[in-house]
Amino acid sequence: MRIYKVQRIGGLMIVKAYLKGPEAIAYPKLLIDTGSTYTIIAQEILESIGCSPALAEERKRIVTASGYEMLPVVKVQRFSCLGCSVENGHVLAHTFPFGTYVDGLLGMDFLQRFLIDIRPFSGEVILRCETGKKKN
Amino acid sequence: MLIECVKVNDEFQVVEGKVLYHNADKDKVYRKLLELRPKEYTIEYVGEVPEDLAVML
Repeated sequence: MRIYKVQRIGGLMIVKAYLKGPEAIAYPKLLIDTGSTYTIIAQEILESIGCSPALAEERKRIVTASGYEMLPVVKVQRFSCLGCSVENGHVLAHTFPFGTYVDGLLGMDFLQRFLIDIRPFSGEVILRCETGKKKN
Repeated sequence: MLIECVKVNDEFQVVEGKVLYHNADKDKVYRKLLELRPKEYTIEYVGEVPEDLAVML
């Protein structure tokens, strides 16, 4: 078991991630968002590591609070966060209006793969089993 | 701040790095990022966060 102390911005919980593409490595700051189906990363971050959203072959239709969006699906070589990693996984690309503080969202597509407890009161995320991969 | 990372800890926090660019406007930081294309980097916000910041996604 490992306990991660997250950064708090207002009532939000922020963590750092590792994102590897063919050209570079980035450490984006992500908002833990259990209300988001997908992990979403700022377009510029993906572009900078050599995973251009402009070259995406697939798009996902996303329901947001203000309507629908079609977001590019981008393959990255490696994505890690909270001690868990995914090789050759996919993230969605988007530009956030509140991007001053974060570079993206850590969504349920990543969170549900691992045995993770999110504790907003204490500002902690508890990883119960580092090898707790259970879903594709 | 756009920071080229020299060393990060196991939670991906920068321990050692070099500031490549800084600006209060994140869009300008992103533009500089795509211009400089550092091999390993992070972006840190070091200003104050508004107390009344609220988000709905």
